[in-house]
Amino acid sequence: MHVFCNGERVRVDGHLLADVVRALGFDQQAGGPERRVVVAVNETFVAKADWASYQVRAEDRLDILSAMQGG
Amino acid sequence: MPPLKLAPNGDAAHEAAPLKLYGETVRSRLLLGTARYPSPAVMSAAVQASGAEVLTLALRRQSPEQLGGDSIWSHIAKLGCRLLPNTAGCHSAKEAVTLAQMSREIFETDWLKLEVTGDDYNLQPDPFELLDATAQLVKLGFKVFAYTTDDLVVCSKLRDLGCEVVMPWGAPIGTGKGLTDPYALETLRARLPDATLVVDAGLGRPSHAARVLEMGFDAVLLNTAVAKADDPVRMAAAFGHAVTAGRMAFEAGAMAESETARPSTPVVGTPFWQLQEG
Repeated sequence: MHVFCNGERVRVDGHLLADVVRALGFDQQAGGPERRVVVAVNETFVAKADWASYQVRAEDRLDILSAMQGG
Repeated sequence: MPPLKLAPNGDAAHEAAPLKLYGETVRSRLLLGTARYPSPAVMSAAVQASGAEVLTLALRRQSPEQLGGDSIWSHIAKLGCRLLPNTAGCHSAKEAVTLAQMSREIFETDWLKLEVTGDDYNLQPDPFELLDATAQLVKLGFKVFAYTTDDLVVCSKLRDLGCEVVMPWGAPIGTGKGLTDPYALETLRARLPDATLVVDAGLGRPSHAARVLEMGFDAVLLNTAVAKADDPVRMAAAFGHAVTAGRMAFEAGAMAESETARPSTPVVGTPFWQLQEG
């Protein structure tokens, strides 16, 4: 199916959010806290604890965010 | 160049009183942003030179390749400062609440610098969305640091909603203009004497920061004035000194102004003066 990831329409395999995040290259098992990401689907926050059971639907809009400098 | 340090003489008796933010004690009254520095290394050195203990940062879309390694996050984490994530770029209460929840999960803090922009030209906060977002976030347990204009009514309502730290602007973000409306800020300080008030944004020079603290504001939050200085590390130290000086001056209580000159040297015994006869 296709979803929007950070504004770009991409094809992903799998339907569980945890699988989709991994398929998009954001592997949360590898690396330190600087690789940590958080996710919103259709502008609604989805806690990491819910990723394993959250069903992603076609054309959902995913925002996958990480820490950055700010003022 | 000699090493930079914040305390002029290291004498604790000569230091300003610490600041309380949501019950947490912070020694430095300078809150610093982490953006726009020439490099992460300069950012780290500037933070250390400033004495700041609270740093703002953000969440953004990044590709997997941009994460990890020498990222800004790895530098910020090493500084051991308290984090104050922002909601920069949000234009509605809904966006801000979602981003706040994401920030709380990744940064593991319920502190939040709440920004909701209403006008993209001067990045002016939207008071209506800001109040809506504050009400929702306080209910969700966030400790809101609300970035707002200097409007007294908005600041009062933020307090009424449970926002303990209200952050009126000095001038629009990144302008370096200093205090464009000192009267409004003086009014805020006088009318909200028990509020923790932090002037956030628009400051360009250490003298601006010193003036804010002299006026009785609790702290300043700035970023560009340090990051875009020719020497950010030295400017960070200058702001650290200015904030300390301003706060100590406020605590000391400034003399009353006079419209006419008054000699500081005693007049009695002035030389070369003769009593004229008759």
